[in-house]
Amino acid sequence: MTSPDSYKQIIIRLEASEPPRDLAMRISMRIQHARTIRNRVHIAVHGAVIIGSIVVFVPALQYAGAEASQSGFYEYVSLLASDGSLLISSWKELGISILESAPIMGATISVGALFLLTNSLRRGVRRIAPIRPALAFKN
Amino acid sequence: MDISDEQLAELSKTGDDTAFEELVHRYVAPIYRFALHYTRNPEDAEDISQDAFYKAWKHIKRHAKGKPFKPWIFAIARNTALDFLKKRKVHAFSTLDGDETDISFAETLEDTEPLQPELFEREELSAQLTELMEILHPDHRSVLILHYRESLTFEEISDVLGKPMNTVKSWHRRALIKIRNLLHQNTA
Repeated sequence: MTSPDSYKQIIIRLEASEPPRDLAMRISMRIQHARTIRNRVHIAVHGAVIIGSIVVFVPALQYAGAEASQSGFYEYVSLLASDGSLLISSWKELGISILESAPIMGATISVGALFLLTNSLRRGVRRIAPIRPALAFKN
Repeated sequence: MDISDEQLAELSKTGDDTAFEELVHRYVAPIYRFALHYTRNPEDAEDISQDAFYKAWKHIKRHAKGKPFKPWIFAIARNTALDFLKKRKVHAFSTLDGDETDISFAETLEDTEPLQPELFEREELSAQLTELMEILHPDHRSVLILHYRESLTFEEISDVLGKPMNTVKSWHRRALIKIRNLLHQNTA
């Protein structure tokens, strides 16, 4: 018998202590608990972002509408839609006018708020699914 | 088809809860026994096991893809055990025996002297050896447990302990010599 083999044999013969039967379950429960807390924090943060983005989105959309009507943006667009020949004859002037009258500020804020809203909604819903059984158990 | 530990770790990274639970079931006993060799107290070993798995779950994304999972989880368990001992201040071995970085080439060689065959016939060997292992430094003990019981290579053990491979080999040799001497003393 070579030495490493003999040592292996005696070390394997060390008194093997087995963990309590419920240790794996307790570990899983602790992780589940931590997961639930983490999900709740995420839901709270996403919920706040959703509310915030709705609060910003509605006035931003109204502002963009007012901005567009004041600058004559709608008129330029309707002109473009009604008379196609105008686009061919004076596309450059029409393009510049539309760009100048576009409600850029309001539209940017609206799109930004909409992006945050959909993103947080998607992430929030993903976090709700795992904690639903825990909530049902609590009730 | 059996899923490897590494595949389960990758699944855990995507939020698959059952994958991590499977890893817990696979490693709960080895990690508990490993922790027990540091603390010598079953309740403390349970706490360390729980903390180790919780940390592993929390930081699963730090497990590098393609790297073996086993040394990674043992490294977490070892660090958790050392933190635990520091907090409790029950670490009986504040320093390692001698200068661990000063390792001669001879110390990294395998010990070729076999154990006496009659040792294996002794009924009380298991209990006696458990007692003798307590005398060893926790890290030296870890090297023996990880190498002989958990079948980790010296390279993997050096990852677990965060020490160069030559240091691990040196600790291995010292531990074997110490055990052999103590067994022979007890036999005499």
